[in-house]
Formats: sequence, C-alpha cells, structure tokens
Amino acid sequence: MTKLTKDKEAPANPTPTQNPSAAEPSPKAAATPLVIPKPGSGVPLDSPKTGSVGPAGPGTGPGGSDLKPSTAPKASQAPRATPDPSLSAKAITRSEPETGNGNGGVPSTEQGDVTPPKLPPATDLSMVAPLPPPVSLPAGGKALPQSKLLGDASFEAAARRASKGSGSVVVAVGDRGYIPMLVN
Amino acid sequence: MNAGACAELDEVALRHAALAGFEDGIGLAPPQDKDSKWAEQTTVRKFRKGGGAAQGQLQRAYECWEYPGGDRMAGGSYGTATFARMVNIKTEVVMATVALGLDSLLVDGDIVFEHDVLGALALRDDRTPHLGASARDSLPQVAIQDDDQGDRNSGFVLVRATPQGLAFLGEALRIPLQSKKPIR
Repeated sequence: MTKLTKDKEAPANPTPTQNPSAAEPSPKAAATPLVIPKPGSGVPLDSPKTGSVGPAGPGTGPGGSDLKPSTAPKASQAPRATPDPSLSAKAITRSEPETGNGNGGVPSTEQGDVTPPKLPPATDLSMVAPLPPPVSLPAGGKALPQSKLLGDASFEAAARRASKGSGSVVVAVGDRGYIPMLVN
Repeated sequence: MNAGACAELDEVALRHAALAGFEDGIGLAPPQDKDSKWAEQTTVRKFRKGGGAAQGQLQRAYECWEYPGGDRMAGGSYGTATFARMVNIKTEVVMATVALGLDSLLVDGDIVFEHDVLGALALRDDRTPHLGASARDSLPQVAIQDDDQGDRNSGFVLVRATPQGLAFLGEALRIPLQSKKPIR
C-alpha cells in the first residue's frame, strides 16, 4: 500500500536514508543465490555483498524530480568481501526450493546453478484484440499534462496485450521502472 | 530507457515461482523424471535439462513495460521526494491506460484480493453477467483505497475509462506538476 497524504510533505532535504539498494533487495540481488557463511568466517552479515549504506541523493520538493541518483554504489556494483576460500566449498546456497517442489522437500546444498527458464516472447499484436476506442477529455476541460506514455507505441502494445480485448487492465508500478500489467 | 528492468522482473518472477513450488499459474511444469539422477533437483533445473518441451508450457502472466528513467525510482522511502515521484508515476501510468480506453486498476504488491476483483468491480463484462449495461454505467468511475485513518492511499486505485475519469487523473497529475519543482 502506498500512503498518499503525506506526499506533499516531502522534505526539501530529506534525512539521509539507507541506500535504496540496501533498503530493499533489488530484483537482481534477490535473484542472486544467497551464500550463508559459517559462523566465525569473518564475513560480516552486513558485508557489501548485499549493498552498503550510502548517502542519499539530494532532496527536492514535492514530487521532486531533479533528484539525482545516489552516488552510493548499487548492490551489484558494490565491492564484495572475499570469503575464506577454505569455506567456500561448504557454503550453503539457497537457490533451491525448500519445500513442496517435487523433490521431497529436501533442499539441495549444492552450489546454485539454477537457470530459470525463459518466458515465451510477447504475443504477436496481430493475434490480440484491438483496444477500445480511446477516451477523450470532456469538452472544455483542461488538456492533459504532458506524458511520455501518451502516444507511446510500445506502451500501447503492452497494454493491448495485457487487456486481451477485455477493455480493462490491472497495472502496477515497480520501483526500478518496470510497469507490470497483469494479463487478463 | 531503463533497459533490462523487465528482464530482471522476468528472472525474479520465474525464480520465485519455482522456489514457491508453483506448478501452474505462471506455467511452470512439474518434474517428470523422478526416477532419474535429477530426482533431487528442482523444478527449475528440470526445465534447464528438459529443454523445449517444458518451455512450451510456460505462459506469460503479465506484460512489462519499462518506464524511461525508471531506475531513478528505486528505493524511495515514505515521505521522500523519490517516493512522491513514484506515486506521481502511478498516476501517470493510469492516466495513459485510461486514455487508451481501458478501465484501469492500479494495485500495489502488498494488496491481496480475497475475491475476484475484476468481477466485483465489474471490470469484466463476462464476469458480471448479472449486471446490465445501465447498471454498469451507474458504477463509480473512481475508487481509491481508504485506509483505516481516513486517508487516501494509492495502493488500490480504480479509474474507469470515461472522460470524467481521465479528467480526474489529469488534474491529479497536474497538481505536483504545478509545484515549484518538476516531477522529473
């Protein structure tokens, strides 16, 4: 859920917060097999492997957009601690299902080499029902604000594929810029 | 363009579906060769070994569109300018889908529907056969989450594809645009 009412209170110079990459694991980070070092291995739990805490970018006013990306390294760019080579062979990976996956619920302790399958390519637009007629503003109404999305052919194609001729779409907004639209 | 965000989403979705043991829904197939040396492996690894046959069973459950510059949306915590910017982008995305003529339901990832929301909100004619056209026309054109403190919340926003709904979204987006700082 995303609370709306305090958006207008966005601080001009927000208090430095955790590096976004550290606050929430990025999809890339989440996809990386988790290596759990043995106790006493010398690798701290908050090692740079999972993203370090860095300074926040400069703040702006409400809805500010001149916010520059933080200069803190992303999780994928952060330097990684080098684990003790003698421990690496015993490291446990969590790249396997833990329960209920058809393997008797026995998690594998092998080094992760899971390669997820690829989703099929997007459906040919010629196979998808057309969109309903576009909606116009009421007569005399103010023009819509400028948007990169209005008139973007690739956005329209994605929405058309997702709606599958139903006249509706369920949409979300990811925090790395992906806009998933659930297929009806 | 934030190239690669959707590819990362695909990877994470597939990996988590496999870890959760999904065998349908997103289209992952159960392992077939339980007697083989792969019996202890995961569904995902079966895919890799199984090759094309399993690939054919995958179904894409979502479309993904990458918001230009969307990587700057990452990690903003509540009350920050980055957070406010992401909320504005939500409005922009819904405005664009409504302009395309689609009844649009925006949901956050932490929203769980206990019923068929598309039917309950009459977003799909085929799921609300009991409603005639006139009854459907009388439904609210905008529905937004009301949290327990009486505040509006963008975790759940429904806007029907009507001129009034589009005008509402345009006005909602115009407010932050007219603030001293641009949203992007």
